[in-house]
Amino acid sequence: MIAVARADLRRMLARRGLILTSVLVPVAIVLVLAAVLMFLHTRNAVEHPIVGGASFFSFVSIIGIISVVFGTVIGAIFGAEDVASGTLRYILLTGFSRLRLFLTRIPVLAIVAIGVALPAFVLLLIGALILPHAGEPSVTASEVGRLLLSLVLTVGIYALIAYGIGVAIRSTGGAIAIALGLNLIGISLFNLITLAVPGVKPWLLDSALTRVSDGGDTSIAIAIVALIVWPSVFLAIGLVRALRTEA
Amino acid sequence: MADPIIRCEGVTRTFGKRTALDNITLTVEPGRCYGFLGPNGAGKTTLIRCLLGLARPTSGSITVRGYDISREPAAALARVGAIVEEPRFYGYLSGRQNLELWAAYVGADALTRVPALLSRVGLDARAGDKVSAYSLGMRQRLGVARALLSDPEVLVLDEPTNGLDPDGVAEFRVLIRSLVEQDGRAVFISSHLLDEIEKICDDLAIVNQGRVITSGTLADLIAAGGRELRVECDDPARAEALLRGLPTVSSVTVLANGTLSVQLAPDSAETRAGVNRKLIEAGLAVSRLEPREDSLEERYLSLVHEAGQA
Repeated sequence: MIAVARADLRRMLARRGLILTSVLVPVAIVLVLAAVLMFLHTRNAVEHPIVGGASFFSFVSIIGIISVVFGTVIGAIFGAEDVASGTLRYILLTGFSRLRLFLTRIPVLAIVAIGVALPAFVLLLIGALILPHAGEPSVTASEVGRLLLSLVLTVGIYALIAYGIGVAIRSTGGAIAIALGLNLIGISLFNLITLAVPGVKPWLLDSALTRVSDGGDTSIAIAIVALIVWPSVFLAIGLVRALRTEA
Repeated sequence: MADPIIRCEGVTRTFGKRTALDNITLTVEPGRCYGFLGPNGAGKTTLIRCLLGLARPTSGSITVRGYDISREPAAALARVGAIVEEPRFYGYLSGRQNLELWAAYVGADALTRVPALLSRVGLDARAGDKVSAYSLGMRQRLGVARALLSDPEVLVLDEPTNGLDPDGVAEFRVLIRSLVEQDGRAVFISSHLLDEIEKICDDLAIVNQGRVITSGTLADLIAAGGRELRVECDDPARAEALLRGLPTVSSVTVLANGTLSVQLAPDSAETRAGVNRKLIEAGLAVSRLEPREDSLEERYLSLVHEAGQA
């Protein structure tokens, strides 16, 4: 299984357009932010004294949103590609079981989806540390850890959800659309539900992600369970489909 | 005789009310090329999908290499290579990278075979190119290389020459025969192309509307068809009258171009010589006298037509 996971990882990384876009767009955003802030600082250091520090690092939320979108796209493609392109049957013909195939790809996807988000995060951290931020609190290790955890969980979980959807609906484009729709629109819809049923809120994915990374007064246990249940439901749907579908 | 490498017994597959495969029984022997010949929609791909465990028969049993494909698919497929419908690859990977990826699924030994297989299918010079840039013929050859990764005892190929140009078909034919004759592998090949089956296969089954109409060796199948003597001479009408009087001639027909089609009973060198003697002695100028068997095409068309009428 390790050889297969390694080979699948190489395959995913060979999609240069997708991977480079997923890495470079967030990196470009960090660079543009830094360039604009530096430009303003150079022109008028009094009015714009701060470039780096904690305020610069707070842009991680933008990186998080973009990385979730790319993670979702990668997950959907990873889930749907083999059926959509007709390669699944040739994998199954090697005798490699559907279950093993499905399970092997989960860590590979997590590595790829999280991996493409990390360069921008690291760049943002470097910028926060080296860019001028006189008077501004510096970035603390605990803050870095908290935001890294948030990024890893958010990107990883949405990528896994997209993977489950991709396997289930077997169409790359459709899977991307549904997974992104769930990510971008579904959250708002679920928030509407919480207006009617407030008790549901801790179980919502975004609430759970916020609770785990940012803290809060709701139950951490519920948040952890929610973070396990949400991707598990979509992965289970995908697995059922993967085991039953004719290649 | 060695155990069959593929054995289908009473395989039936239905889709709703439509019967795609109807009680198919056949065996493929090791080291033989078996053709599964039939018109489009006859059930060829459905059977291949069942053989490979990609679809389940509604009833009947299939064993591959002695293993039941439904119960022990991994063991059955461990040394089986296949191309189903068309070879599909990851277009953004090179030919070599694709094979290396599939080698990881097959097992550690397969990786060592990749360079030799690329060479064998004539793709070593283009192995570094992305598959998206390959022609259909190149993808077919890469498909064979992939099918050979597991050092298979049997290759299952579904319409492998579809879309290939004449050169590609000829190259493919040589490749397949080398797999049978040099390597001793069994090949199960489905096709609607009579010429292809006639040139590649040792045994065949003809299938129509999900049923096997006939099966056996290619030679036996052709021999079971009609035989005749074709005669050309300067006076076909007179020749027809003369030959009708011969006791060894069961029927004579004058074809549109004036050639006589003569059925002999028995058909032997002696009775054929008797026809010639009769015509010469009558003063006719015989310009051609040719014993002829039904071609596979004629045999196939007649069997499919008969099955359709039944």
